[in-house]
Amino acid sequence: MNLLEMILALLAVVLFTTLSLSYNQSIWRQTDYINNATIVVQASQLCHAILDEADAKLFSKQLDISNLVTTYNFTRTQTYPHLSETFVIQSVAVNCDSLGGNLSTPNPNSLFKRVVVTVSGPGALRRPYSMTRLYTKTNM
Amino acid sequence: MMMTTFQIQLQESAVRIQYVSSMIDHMDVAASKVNKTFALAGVGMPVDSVCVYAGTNRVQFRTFWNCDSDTLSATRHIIEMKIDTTSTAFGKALIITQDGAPLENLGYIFYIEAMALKYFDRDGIETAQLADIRSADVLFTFRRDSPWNPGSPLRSNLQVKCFFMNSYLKGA
Repeated sequence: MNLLEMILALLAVVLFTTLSLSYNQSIWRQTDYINNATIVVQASQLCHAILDEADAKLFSKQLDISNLVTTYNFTRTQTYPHLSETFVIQSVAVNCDSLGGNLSTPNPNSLFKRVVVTVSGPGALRRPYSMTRLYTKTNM
Repeated sequence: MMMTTFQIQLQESAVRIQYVSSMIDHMDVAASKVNKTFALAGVGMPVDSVCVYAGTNRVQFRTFWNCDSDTLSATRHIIEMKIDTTSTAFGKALIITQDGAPLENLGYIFYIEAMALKYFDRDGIETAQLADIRSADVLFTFRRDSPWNPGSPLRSNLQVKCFFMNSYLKGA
């Protein structure tokens, strides 16, 4: 084996060792991935819970739709012991048009309200999770 | 030898990625199904007569909704959700029954090891009174043996808020 062949063999060893290490690292990270993904699913369920609560209160008339905008503008935190994480929930409710777009001029009597719930906080939730629901006044 | 090792690691990495993604999808689907089942509780029932049993790991309620055919029913049904062992290789599962028989379309939700329930009244105050229950916090513990180490299963928890929407429609 001449010098060139030895160098090539050495380079091949270095290459495959590097590849093996990178794959082993990715395997080690799998548990982290599933934990992080659980955070995302939990964030989506948090958004559902806030919006479903608004649905329920509107159904039961505990909340009038004219008060939706004032009631569902808040920021609060939610801690889940089973995840050891604290989520920041921001709810933004506005009067809007029938497609959920912003009104060109403010109209507190608009028949349409848009609620956007955004959940952020845990480091594993790399981007805030957001969910939107459009509410329509049907009982005039 | 290096090529073989490389190929094996590649294959194992692919299996792990597939495992994680399928598990996350399963958690999301399971939460949606349970939420839907709760939402259809109490159809045609007075709001204070929906729940039959409300335990920390099992719940029973009445409804005139046929959860098997997903249609309105002329007869009253008892829907039950509980964790129980199955005769399959999957072991424990969340079993949803209608009048004692598992539902055809979503009777068994696998990879769920435990379920913990807390109940709330119309104002969101925790309650144990059957007549007052209007919503529930359901904490699921998902468990699945990992393909690379069956002796060390992966567990993940998910908490879902479910509302008895029909009770709210009747004024809660």
